[in-house]
Amino acid sequence: MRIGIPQGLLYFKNGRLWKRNLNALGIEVVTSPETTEGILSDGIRHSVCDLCLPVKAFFGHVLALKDNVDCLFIPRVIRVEPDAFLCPKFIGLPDMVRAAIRNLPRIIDTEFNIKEKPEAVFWQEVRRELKGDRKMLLRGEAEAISTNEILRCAQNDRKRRNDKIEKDHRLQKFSEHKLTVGIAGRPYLVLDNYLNKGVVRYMNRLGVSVVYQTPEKNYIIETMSMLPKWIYWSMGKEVVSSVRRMLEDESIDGIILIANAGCGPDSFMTELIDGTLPVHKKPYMSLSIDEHLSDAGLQTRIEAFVDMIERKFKYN
Amino acid sequence: MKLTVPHMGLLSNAYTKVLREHGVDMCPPPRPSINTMNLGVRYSPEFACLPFKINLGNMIEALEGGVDTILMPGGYGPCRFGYYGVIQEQILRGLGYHFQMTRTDNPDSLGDMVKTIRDISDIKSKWDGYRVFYLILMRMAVLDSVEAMYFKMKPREINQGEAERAFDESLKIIEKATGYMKLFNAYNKIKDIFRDVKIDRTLKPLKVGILGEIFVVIEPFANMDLQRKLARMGVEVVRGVWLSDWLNDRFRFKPLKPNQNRLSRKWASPYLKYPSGGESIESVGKTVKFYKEGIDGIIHIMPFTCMPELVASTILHRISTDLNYPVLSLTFDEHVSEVNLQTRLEAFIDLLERRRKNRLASRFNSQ
Repeated sequence: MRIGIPQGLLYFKNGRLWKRNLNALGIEVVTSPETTEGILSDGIRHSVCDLCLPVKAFFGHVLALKDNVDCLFIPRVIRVEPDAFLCPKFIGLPDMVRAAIRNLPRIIDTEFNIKEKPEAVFWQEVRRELKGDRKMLLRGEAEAISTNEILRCAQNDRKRRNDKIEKDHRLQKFSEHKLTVGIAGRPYLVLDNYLNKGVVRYMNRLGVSVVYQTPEKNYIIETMSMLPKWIYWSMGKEVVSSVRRMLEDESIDGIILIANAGCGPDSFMTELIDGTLPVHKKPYMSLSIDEHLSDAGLQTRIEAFVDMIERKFKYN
Repeated sequence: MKLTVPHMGLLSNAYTKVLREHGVDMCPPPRPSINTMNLGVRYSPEFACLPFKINLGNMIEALEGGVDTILMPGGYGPCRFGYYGVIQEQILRGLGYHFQMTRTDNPDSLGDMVKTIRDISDIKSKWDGYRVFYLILMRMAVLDSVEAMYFKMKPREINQGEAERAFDESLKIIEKATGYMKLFNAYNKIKDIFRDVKIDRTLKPLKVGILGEIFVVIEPFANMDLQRKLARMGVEVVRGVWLSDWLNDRFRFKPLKPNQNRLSRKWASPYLKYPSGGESIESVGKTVKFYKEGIDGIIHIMPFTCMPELVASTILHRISTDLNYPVLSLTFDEHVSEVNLQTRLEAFIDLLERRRKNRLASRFNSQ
């Protein structure tokens, strides 16, 4: 029994946890390779035209996986916290994949809705769904860890992650350079080395170290209380509060907000950041990325941005 | 206090007169036009959806006309609509307008809506608040039924322009009906008016279902008057999305009408198992329903970058090939050209006509 997890969208947030929990159920987990041009263009061929870039790439990952696995793990993630949704495309994701791609293996599309049922119930349901397949849990059934244990693992994992964030909030510092630029944006766009068009690599080559961070929960709540209305998208919350965090952080010299073109929530979040946060205090640029973006255009903008920061240091 | 609410189809016809009688100085903005669109597009975020831009343009026009309070519904759904008010207020303040913004952040709750009505008007008792709110809902239902009758009559009429005249006359009659009894009489009168339209009863026009995002479906400016265009081409438009149905799902003022959302969920269940916000579940569910009812084709319309309808659009693509059923997906934004739309509609209608002819021919041959 092999279960496939496409390396896109929520994989960048929960991938490791999913992999470990499924392994604990005694199932071999296969992930698709990192995004390449081929994967993206395969995905684009199977999607309607104005879908956003990460979803198109996700279709490509499903296509890359579907022939090597017995089933695909694409949970329907509705809410990851009680008072916020994810983008509607996550809610319809398993159905979209089913509609866009033919000859698919079985899809495990268990609902993840923290408002209606806790995480433990979700994993229980996943387990029940996997059990429905007779062949599948030959080995797994014997070794399967009880759902409580899975939950304990998940909690520990989260705790460790939070500790790490608190210890050094520069969660991912890619290398040491004299300038530091913070990158804000959705994890599935910023952390995917193909979809972000090599922004990180290019900035490192220019002698800039890049920081990406997700603020902790209390900080997000504090940021939300400053806004006229709570943001009801989990990732939108993170984007806005990470920009605020970077504006406050003395060690960060400039901020780049990466959003994909046509991203619904981010089209409003960029406007909200411009209006409510003091972005004039630091060099701040928002980039929108889609599949037609040329590398040369992007590089020119980044060079200009880095030049601007350097000049600011020279004359201050 | 001069109050305005951005336009959404015929909604302003439903509340303006009623609220004026209860001491609210209602100033509806001018009907959306090219000017509205230009204003909205100029100040909106790049990838905001079309309803946002038209609403913003409407607000600017209203503020230029001397309005000082804007009422904007909100929400906490996964769709962007719930956050419109916040961003629009921010943009308008940035442009230097002075006004008050009232957001009703819970448009699904009856209590909140009635409270909003009592806050803005001179209605004292709670009971009166409910009475006025339900009167507005009933007026909306009558307005929707007028539109439905128009779409039924227009392709069949014998004397050109008679259906339009009946439509305009009905709107005038509803405008005057500001009580439950008056509204009931007005409704009967409207039915008579439409009965007087001379129609060709032998004609069997093509039927096209219109589905999609609610604002774009019900606001004729946003969809470039798509439905009237179809009606003028001699096609019977069967609309799947009505504002009164949307309201009825929440406030139950038509107790005999089943909950459309729940029904759509049932119909859509093989394709979309959980409503992903907006009208996605209605779009998918009613496509399946229209297919079973024998409607010739579906036109699915949505604003550019609409998140819920993109989910629906992906799935409709599959339904279309699975059931061998024509579905035309149209995306609207400020760059859509009228000629392009006309060409695509004509091609689609031609396709439907040919399909019908072939089907009739094959049935004839097999007998």
